[in-house]
Amino acid sequence: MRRLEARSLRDRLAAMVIAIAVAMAIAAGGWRVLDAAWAESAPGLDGATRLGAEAVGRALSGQIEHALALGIPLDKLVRVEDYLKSVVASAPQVDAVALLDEAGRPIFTTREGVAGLTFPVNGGGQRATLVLSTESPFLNAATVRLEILLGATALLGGMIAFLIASLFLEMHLAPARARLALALARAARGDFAVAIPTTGRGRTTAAFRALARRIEPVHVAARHIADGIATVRAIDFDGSLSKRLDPLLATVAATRGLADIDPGETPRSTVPSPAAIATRVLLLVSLYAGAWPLLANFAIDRGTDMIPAPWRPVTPLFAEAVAVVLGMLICRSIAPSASRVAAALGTALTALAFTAVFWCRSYDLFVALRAAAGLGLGVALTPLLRDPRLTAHPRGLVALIGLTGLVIGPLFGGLVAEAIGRRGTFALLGIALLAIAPRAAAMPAAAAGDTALRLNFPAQAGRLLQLLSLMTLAALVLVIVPSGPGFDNYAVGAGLIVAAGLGLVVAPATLPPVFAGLLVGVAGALWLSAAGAVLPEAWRWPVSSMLIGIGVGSLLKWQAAGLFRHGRSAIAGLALGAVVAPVATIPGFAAMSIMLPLGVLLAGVSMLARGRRNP
Amino acid sequence: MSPAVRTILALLGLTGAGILLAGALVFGGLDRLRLRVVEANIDFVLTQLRDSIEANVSLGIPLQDLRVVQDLLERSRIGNPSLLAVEVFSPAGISLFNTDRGSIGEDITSTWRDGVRHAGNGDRWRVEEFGNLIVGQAIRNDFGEPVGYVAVTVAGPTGQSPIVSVIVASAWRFAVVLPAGLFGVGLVVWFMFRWRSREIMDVTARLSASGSPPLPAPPPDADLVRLADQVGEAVDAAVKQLDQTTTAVLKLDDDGVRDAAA
Repeated sequence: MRRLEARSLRDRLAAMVIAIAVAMAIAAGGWRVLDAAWAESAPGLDGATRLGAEAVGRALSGQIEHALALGIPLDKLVRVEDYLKSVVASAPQVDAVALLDEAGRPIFTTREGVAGLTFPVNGGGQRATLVLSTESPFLNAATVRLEILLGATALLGGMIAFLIASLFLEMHLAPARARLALALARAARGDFAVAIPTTGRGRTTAAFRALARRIEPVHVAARHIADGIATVRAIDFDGSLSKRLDPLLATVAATRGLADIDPGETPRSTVPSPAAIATRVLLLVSLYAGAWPLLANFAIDRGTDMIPAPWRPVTPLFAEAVAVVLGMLICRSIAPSASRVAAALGTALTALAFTAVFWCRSYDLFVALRAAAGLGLGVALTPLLRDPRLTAHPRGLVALIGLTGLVIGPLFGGLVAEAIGRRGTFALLGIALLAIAPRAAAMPAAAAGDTALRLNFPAQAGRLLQLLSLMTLAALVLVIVPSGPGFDNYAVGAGLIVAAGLGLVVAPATLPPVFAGLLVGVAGALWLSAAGAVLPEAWRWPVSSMLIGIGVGSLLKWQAAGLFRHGRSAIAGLALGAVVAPVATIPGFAAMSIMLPLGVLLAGVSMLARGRRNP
Repeated sequence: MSPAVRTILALLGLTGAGILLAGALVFGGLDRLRLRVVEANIDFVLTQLRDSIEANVSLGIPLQDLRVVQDLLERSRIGNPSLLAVEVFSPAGISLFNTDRGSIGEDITSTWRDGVRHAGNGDRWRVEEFGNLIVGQAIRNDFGEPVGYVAVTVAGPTGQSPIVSVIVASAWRFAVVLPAGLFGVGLVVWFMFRWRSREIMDVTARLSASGSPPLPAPPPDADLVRLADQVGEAVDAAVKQLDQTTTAVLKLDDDGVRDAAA
């Protein structure tokens, strides 16, 4: 067992090294491009900044000249320093301003040692000089922002690389190694009747082929002995030879039966490996979740006179959730053999709905397209999530789906939107989904019927807890962040969703459920004015998102076994989350403060659920 | 194609896509920055104009009767050569004052109306039309009601985007960085996969090495290699036993033939 753990650790170490290599390659590549692009753009940007600063300088000097022309002495001008400070604050291309008298002594200044553009000020017989420093904090901030975005891209690449390498090493190579070890152990014990898969490619297959070749002499020898036995029996007219034959054969009883086994090629298995199924789930979820930082703000921007702005994201998200449930019901009612085709069609429908957003100009059409995307997702995802090999490890699956749905997908969507805009991102995600649609046809067939209905229901409180947990997560990820801090800043929106996702992934399943619910409540309390003073403004969003991620993640992992059996309850939770998010805006609170009552509710229900679980 | 090769190709594809995304982020970010610099240059003018007009509006004079606004607009236009036009229009979308005097009294376009309707924070809106950039802001009275809008038109960056020249200038970096990144990642991935499948390769070598000189003893943690050696021993023993039995069986055959002949 210890050796197995050491092997798994070595697999993870290898995946980590690969992830670091990919992240470093992306970071180095991005950095070199930024360096070249910045060198090319800097003169133009500096020129434009200088032009803006000159316009500000001219306007300012004109106003001071006007005041001097009215006969006000230069040193008697009132509140000039405050005015200059307000100009510096409102004009990002200006770093500092000073007004000097005729002798060059500063009379009013926003800071010491201002140097740069100079504008003569002449009026009412008085002379002065306005000096304006153009070093722009605006350009520096933009550079820092680009560097952060490149860092996030490298991080995203590293995370995806880690997932790909881990899937290969832990879900493909490790099981193959285990199968090889089993075959070798049986052969080493003298059991040569082991079935050896010799089709396919790769090093494990080569090892199986070598094993087949190595035990082939046993099969040949067994056939020789079978031929000899047949010959003896053919001339054994009185049965005397058989009496002498049986004791001889007793010593090779275990191996002589090999003559009946064809050691040639075994047919290729048509069942996809767990790694293949997990890859398809993760691809589908991450591409679909790529749109999450963009949905609410896109809906708000489409605009409609019938719904107030805070409630505009609700309709498309609600329609989408209902459509997902409908897709799951359709998938349940069709024959298992047809579910593969349905899954491929579902993925294609989602892809087309995503791509069509590129041309979408109206709110109504956007709602319809999101409903189509949800319907496709419900049909495509259901057969995958019913595969018992995946759902055998529900906590791991929650963490994996959390990683792709709340970290990789939104981060990818946010970064692509920063690079090419929202419409381009929807189109790109649609094309990527269309590319994986043929792979959906090779998915496992859906299990007949809904096993959830036949399995034991968990305590009602447990189901309510699932619903509330997903509601909380959906409210944050689908509505509050995209229509709040992520409205005009997709990278920031994606970053906050990632913070919640990372919280969910690292959340321990052993965290006391009541405490997990209270974490959500604390995140909401931070947004009420009194509690908000505890934390600086800049830290409030990331800390709240992370707290909600940890709290909800812990609760979902606690209830993980039931989560995948009650798909429709889960979707209902997501839909309700979209509805509940804008509620806090009615009494005039920040939307995030809705987490306070939700957290208290979660804590209460988790106490009930725990009571049922451990009576 | 083996799963390992597919995985390596996926990782190389990911690296390439990541570098391209990083490049797209840089180009997109710089393009937006250029736009923001242009906007920032307009911001000050716009804020000054709005403040001056609102100061007059707060005296109680209706906006359309404020003749001083036309002078303000023209002075701003003269002081900033980058401005193509400055305009004030009513909430109904009728141009009230304009540096292009011939346009006074005309309706604003539907693009401008959309811009006003989707105004963001601080009443500021921005649209691009005919390659020009138009930035506008609401003028409000003392009760916070919009009494009109001021809009500034500048030559837009879309028509003369230097981002293409930035991309061309950076292309040679891509030409170096992309293959180098792919090569480096490919090397690391190949090495790591080789490390993790070394035991399996050793098993293949052991199983294929029958008849060759004896191989060195496996390392202590190589369970599979030890099993492969045991398989070799088990196969040899089984073959020997089967061959001996075959010989004994065939001897019975010979005895039988001899008995039949006797």
